Amino acid sequence: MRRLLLALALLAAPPAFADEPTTVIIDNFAFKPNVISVKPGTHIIFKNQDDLPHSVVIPDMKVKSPLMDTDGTYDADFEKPGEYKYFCGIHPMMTGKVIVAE
Amino acid sequence: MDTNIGRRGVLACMALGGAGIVWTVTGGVPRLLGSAEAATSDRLHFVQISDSHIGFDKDPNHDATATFQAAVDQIKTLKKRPAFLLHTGDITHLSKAEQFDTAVQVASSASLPVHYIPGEHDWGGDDGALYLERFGKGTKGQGWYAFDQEGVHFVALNNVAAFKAGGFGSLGADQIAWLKDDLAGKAASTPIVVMAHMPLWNIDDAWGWKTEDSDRALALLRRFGSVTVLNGHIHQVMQKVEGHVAFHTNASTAFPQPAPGTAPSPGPMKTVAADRLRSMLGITELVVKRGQGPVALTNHTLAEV
Repeated sequence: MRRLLLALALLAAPPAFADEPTTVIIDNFAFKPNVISVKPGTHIIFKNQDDLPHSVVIPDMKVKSPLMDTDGTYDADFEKPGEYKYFCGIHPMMTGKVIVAE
Repeated sequence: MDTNIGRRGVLACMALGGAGIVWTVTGGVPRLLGSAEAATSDRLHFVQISDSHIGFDKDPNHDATATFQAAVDQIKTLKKRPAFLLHTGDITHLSKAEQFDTAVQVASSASLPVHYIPGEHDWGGDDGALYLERFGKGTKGQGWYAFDQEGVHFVALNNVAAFKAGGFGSLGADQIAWLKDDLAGKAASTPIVVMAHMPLWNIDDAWGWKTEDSDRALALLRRFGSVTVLNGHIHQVMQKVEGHVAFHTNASTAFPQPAPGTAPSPGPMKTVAADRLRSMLGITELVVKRGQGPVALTNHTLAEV
């Protein structure tokens, strides 16, 4: 019975890749890593480690974050496969890309 | 050459400690304006302030409100009282209501009219909603406007509302069409002063210090005999003359940024010593002369008080 419960629990658990959030650091006016590949359903935390505010704009997901001050974060879920280019809403030369694929 | 620009660099300013010397450049030859000449031929006198970043509290300035107040207090001590102030954007650090409130409260202590334009820090938090609520009355489109004073035509542009991935400052087709209409009936002898937060000249691609469609706006301005472009954004004084167009970027009242290419990023110069900070912050006095005379610019650092 215990073994069966364990097996059921394992079946019910979401896949490991969607469990753990992935972090993109903003440092020296750059998104790091700049290009990142993830599985569908990945939760990405954007964290600003600069001394000036930044934001995240993801046009294909119609996402515009508020301004993140130093140590501020913004969370986004990448559900569907695709290539999502994004940029900082106040420093548009800062760009990055999330590739979502199985 | 019928367009001149008076100027004095920050370094000269620091060295001279604020003596009222105004250099002008006539036909490429610098000359010193005597104070009597300056006093008798003034048409309009006003002050540019910029990048007050109310809410910024990190190195090298833990109190951007205090340094903005110091700038306004300095304006109150100028020998000649200016007609008004121009604030060329980044009024706030994070587009927050209380930051706008504080900025307006401090600026109003000069008891002078203040003409504002937005910087990306005033716009990016909410697509300009709070900015337009406060400053958008009587403006067109995304807050752009024009006004005339003493025969000088002022144009206030917004180049922080149409950013695209990988792009730069941007005016957009609608604003340029409006500018064309606005300038259409003006005589070429009308002195023009243009305000925009991000530079309308190419200063640095890697740091995004330019406006991608500024050429289209400048093409509309070239027929005028005297055009002065006032920008902020880069937190340091830079000047350039291109034909009849004089470009000037103002110092911030909050924190200095590095010269292009001298640091890994355009972030604040964190290691500036407390006793040097105010020598790297400042305001600009502008005097428009009668007739086709030069627009004379004098930079004052906050250390001069």
